[in-house]
Amino acid sequence: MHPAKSVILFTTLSGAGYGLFITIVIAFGFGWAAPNMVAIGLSFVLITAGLLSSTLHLSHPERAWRALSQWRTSWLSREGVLAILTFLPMGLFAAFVWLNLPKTWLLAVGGTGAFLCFLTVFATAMIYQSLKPVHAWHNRYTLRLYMHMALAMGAILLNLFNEGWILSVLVLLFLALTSVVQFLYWRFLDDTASASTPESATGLGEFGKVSLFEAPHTESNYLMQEMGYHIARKHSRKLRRLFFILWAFSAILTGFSTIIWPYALSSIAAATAFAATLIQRWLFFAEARHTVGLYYGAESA
Amino acid sequence: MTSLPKNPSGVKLGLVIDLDICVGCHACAVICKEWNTSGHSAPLTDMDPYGADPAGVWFNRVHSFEVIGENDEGGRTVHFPKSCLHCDDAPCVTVCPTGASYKREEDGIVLVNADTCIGCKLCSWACPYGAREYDADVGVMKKCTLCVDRIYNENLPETDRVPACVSTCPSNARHFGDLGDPNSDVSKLVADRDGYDLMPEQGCKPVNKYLPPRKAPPAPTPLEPKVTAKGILGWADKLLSR
Repeated sequence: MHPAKSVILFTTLSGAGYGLFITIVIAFGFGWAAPNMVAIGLSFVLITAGLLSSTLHLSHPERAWRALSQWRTSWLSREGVLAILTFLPMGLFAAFVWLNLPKTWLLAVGGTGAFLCFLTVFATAMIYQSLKPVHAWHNRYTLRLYMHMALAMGAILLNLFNEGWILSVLVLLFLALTSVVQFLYWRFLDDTASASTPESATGLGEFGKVSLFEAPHTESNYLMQEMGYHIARKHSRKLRRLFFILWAFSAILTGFSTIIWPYALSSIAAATAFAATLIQRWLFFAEARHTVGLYYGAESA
Repeated sequence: MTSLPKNPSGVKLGLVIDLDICVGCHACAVICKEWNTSGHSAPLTDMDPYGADPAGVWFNRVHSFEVIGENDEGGRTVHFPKSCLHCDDAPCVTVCPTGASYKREEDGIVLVNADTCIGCKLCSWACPYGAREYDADVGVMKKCTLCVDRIYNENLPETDRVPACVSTCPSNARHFGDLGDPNSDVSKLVADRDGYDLMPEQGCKPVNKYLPPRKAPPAPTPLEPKVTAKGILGWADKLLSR
């Protein structure tokens, strides 16, 4: 699948923003960290930047309001509705923190906001997970990957604003969990293939092995450009290794940030983790095949 | 509306493609493009059509597949026209966030409302068959309309009220009709020739059906030799038969 920059930016930035808000509320709830206006502001900025990136890349952004109407059937529509709804309790939380209102009030709106953030990331992941023609996305790992990434990035960003060691432990926990899920997902990709084959795509399997003899046209077309892109195995292996290296480096820096240079090291850790997230999201698209490729010479989907 | 129709009428208009007969002439592809220079999806944009790197929107693509039998015995080339299969359980309809992608209740045709499409391309990701294409010029998605602007068109004589691709096929490899009616000509054809769905494992319940190439009939057995006459007549017979 063609990795569109706007979609990669949207899911990573917004995911980090939603994750950050969730961890702000969790950390506040458990008494690990007081809510920080800058951190809350950062979560707003990240979410908004991501949403704008995806809306502006549409060919008809002026009609984007219509995308809120089909929430009964479309995960993309549900994501739009949830994203807008989420801003309300988030905004209230920010206002209540600024006004120094009692903890129960803060937890009420913060908890609601965090829950809606969770649902929004859930809806985003389900857009991809619900697509049957893409074997790399239509599995139980997709949802977990999105959630783990969002929480890990959120925790790492929150750690920038706090000197305590509890948050660093939380970060290390999320980084470790995400590595496990990521490893299992990539192994799933390597070991399994789609049930659809050139034989099932053409129905000619009873006559023997099916392969493309002649493409329907000499030039490229929208389908091949959008869904025909697939990264070569040796390149994807390098990028996967790079992801784990950056992720581990981020964990090491987070660990050291509890001892020395807390702000500097946690900043570099956050930047490193974000770079790793971009690589992971890029691979999520580049390693995915679509069944339409079976009609254009792909031997598997 | 991107929910699938709640009370479908039972009419399922679609195509039946005969892979035994298709010769790969691409006439159906050409006329689809020609018919759609006006009407529901018009125009189908071409980018750089006379230049070095042309690309464009067109719906009916004819692929050619090579099928090699077991132990490399024989091979056959099958020409494979493919356009939207107007699925019963169309995923392209349910994923659309704006409602621009819809399935008609009265005949099951799946269409795009170009006035409300935002060009997010999710429908093309959801379609396993590649039936939907993005028109880069107008920024909306386009797809086979089953010639909805032709099949009900009272300005055409009744025999012409079939999709353009069906009317033009020189080898009569394309058929159009109501696949929801078990007594229609197309349904009987499908039953007769064991017509099948493409990628049934994807769960889209496509309405269009494909007829498989016919298997070659068994080679004829040689005739028994005629009983020859004996004696002088037999000798004369042999002499004259040389």
